[in-house]
Amino acid sequence: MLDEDIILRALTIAGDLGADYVEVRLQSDKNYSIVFRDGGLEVYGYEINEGLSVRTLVNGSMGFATTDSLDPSSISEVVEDSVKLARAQGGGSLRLAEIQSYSISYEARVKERFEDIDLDEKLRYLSDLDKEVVSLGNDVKVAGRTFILDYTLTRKLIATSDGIMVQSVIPRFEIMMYVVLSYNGRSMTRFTGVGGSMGWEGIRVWEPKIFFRDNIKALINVIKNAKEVEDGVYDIILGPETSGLAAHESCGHPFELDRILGREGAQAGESFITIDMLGEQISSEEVTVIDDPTLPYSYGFYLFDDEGVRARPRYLIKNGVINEFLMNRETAVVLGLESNAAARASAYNREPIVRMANTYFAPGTHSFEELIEDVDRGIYLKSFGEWNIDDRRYNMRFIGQEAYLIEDGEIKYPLWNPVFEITVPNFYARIDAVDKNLEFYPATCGKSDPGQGVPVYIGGPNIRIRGIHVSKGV
Amino acid sequence: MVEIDVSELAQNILRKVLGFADDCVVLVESSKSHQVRFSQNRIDIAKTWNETSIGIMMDKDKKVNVIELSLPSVKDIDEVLKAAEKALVSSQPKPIYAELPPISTGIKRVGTAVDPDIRDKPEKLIDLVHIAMESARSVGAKRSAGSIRGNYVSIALASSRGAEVLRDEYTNVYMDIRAFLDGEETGHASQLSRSIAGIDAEELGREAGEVAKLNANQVVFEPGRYDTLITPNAAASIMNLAARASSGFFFLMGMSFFAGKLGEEVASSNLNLYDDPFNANSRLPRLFDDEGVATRKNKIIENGVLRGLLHNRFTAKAFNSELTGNSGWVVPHPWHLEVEPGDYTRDELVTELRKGLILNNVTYIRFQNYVTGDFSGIIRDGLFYVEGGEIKGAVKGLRFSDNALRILKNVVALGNDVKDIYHWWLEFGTSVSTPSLLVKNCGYTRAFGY
Repeated sequence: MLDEDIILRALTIAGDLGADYVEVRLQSDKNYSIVFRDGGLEVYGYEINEGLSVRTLVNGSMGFATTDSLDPSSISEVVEDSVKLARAQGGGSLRLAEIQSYSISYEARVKERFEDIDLDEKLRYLSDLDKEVVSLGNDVKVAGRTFILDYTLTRKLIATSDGIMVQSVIPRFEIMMYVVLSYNGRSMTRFTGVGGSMGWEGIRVWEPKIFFRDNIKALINVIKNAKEVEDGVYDIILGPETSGLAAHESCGHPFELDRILGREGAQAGESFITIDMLGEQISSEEVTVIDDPTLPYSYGFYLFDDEGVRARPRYLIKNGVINEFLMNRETAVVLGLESNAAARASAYNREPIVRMANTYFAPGTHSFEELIEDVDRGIYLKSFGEWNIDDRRYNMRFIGQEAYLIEDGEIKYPLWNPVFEITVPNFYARIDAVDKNLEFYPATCGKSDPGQGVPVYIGGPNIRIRGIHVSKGV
Repeated sequence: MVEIDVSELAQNILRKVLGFADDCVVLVESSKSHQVRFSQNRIDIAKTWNETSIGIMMDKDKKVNVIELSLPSVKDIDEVLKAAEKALVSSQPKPIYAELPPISTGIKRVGTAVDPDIRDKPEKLIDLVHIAMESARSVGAKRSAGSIRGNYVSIALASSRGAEVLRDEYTNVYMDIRAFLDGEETGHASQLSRSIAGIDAEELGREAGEVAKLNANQVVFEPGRYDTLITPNAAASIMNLAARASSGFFFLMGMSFFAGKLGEEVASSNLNLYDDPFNANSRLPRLFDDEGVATRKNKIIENGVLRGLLHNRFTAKAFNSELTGNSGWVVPHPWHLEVEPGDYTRDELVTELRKGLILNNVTYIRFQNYVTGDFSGIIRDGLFYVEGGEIKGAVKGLRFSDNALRILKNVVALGNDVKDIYHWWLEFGTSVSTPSLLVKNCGYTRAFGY
């Protein structure tokens, strides 16, 4: 499938047709998915999605064409389509940032190939998980359980007319759980999971049975014992799951330069962050937010992006200062900068656009106990249920799922669905402490039209925010 | 491109699978699509897709496995099917199993659902983008962004439960434009059609620009409960939630706020919701579902009562229901939603509202609890306040925070202003024909520090 001849043929044809820039990507995604619901196999699925995309720049206009037919005539035709579409726009002003040329190949190696594990062993594992979860219920009814075991092996070969050739192989494995709990007129629904860039060995590394068991135990405590929150002002401690989501939604997305420049204006939206805010202090010196594709074994792992640019950690906020944006070659050139390798495409038939990888608050120096002991009246918001944020990424909301009242430096009892709704500048201005823990959770980040869901990690340390209004909602 | 004979491909694969499986259905979908995206008054990119997807669902001893392939895998089909045969042996029977239904025969479309220009003339899409951008500018928009996408789809379905290969083909085109003034003043407009001639780009640009101007001088409003006129743009998102909740799969999974309420009142008695693939502007005007069952118009909510769910063979068995022609192999889903209109003009609804809000669009809806239906959504492209039956101005800073069932039950009037809506964020690619809804006591919250 990853045939260099196909790539080189496409590059040559595009050059002959007068394209100023050509980028060709062959991509194959092989996915295995098992849905196990209420103790039985719902479906076992296997998917192969592979093909070729050709992105061309002609007189400052961009064309993009894809095909899943890899015979010579189809390849010629898809290149012609791409150039024709670019040319039909009548000329534009798009340029791409400069890049070094190189040829490189890399692979995220697994210890146990997912494909080599028999299906019946996977089903036994899921059955054990299900039994474990059901057994925890007692007087709380675990009314619905769905486990999804999902593995994708992605192979790519990317080449550009400016001398890039990058070949990669990346596995991604996750186990997700959706549960419905009911007790005494109350109900709770929760999605959560573990995962990363690993093979079947992830089962031992992430210990899903322990992770899901602890989740369910905590939810049982909440559904049985949670009290209504009193509307008022609290100090908030966000757990790693929630601080990670906050970093992703309120820093990662508004720092995407395509949004800042308006390219997602009718789709994902724009940003309250503007270019002239680079260098502005928006948080305390305790706060650094990193997006790092190079984290080994992470769900958002890659070493070269889908324009072939070498990846590195991006320090979006550094010691409270807006430090850099997420950029691809198309947007970086507007600022006179090099791309920082944020171009990702979710499949062969999607254009590479600016995306996150693994976004998190950098750990600080405090212990978790130190964050708590300094709080007179607060809420420990460990996990979330509902969340959203407006399309300028200015106005965000989380509702706690596993959340506890803090009084006089001690965690007291669980709270029922405390609503935390705040502007993003206000959020960053009020963070005063970050602990030294670091946990990650797999997630799929959605953006654009047609939609592109890409694998990411959200996570981080516990962070403390002072003096926030919390309510029980409407 | 190499022309794919989708019927022959489907039949060939079916024959191979039936060498080891009891039953099988093969769905081959070949498509050619184009999209032009624009922002900041210029085109960003023009795209073309050529794709063929091959879906195979196979049964053996009540075990059911599913395979999805793209075209390059067809050359390795014997190897793929060998692995599939092995997986079937290791697999487990479905706890609720139903046999593959016989395919519906003699299904024919009246007229055509294809505009060949959508497939063959992407340059026409580029022309429409220029017209829409210029039109938005002409009414005062500083800049605009949006996209237009046209799809041609050809489908063949072969099943072990029928000798005939079912065929279908259709086109659709969707355009949206968002006009911007200086900051948060935005306006949105969209159109959906099955032919390029059905897109009035000039009207779209004008409408988006006019809404953006209405959005000027926004004021921060107090959170609370307000009677609300929900326009078709926003109503489409809310009705999409209702349709999702009526999928038999989500019912079983515990992801439906309708769970346990079949036959009960779930909405105001004036609300009627249907799934109708034959609507003139249905984005998915499918003649048959993914199991080869003829599609049909289905009642979901009738006079406020939840009358039916959307089913594939497994969920129909679980609910002891007949098939509804809504099969996705795992998740049954709607094709095109219709909300039955009322008698009110838009102006009459504003007058009837007297004091309250007009909600023009809502997106990014997330649930705190799928079972109870508690959710919130982001307000986009217009929230206006009304006093004395007149629009007084624009509002900012609020979030739509409520409960899906409460909203459905609080619908007090429906307009006659039906629009055909498709948003890129709607699930399953479902389009919606809906009028404006007048809803009592909708909840709104505001962020701390706004």
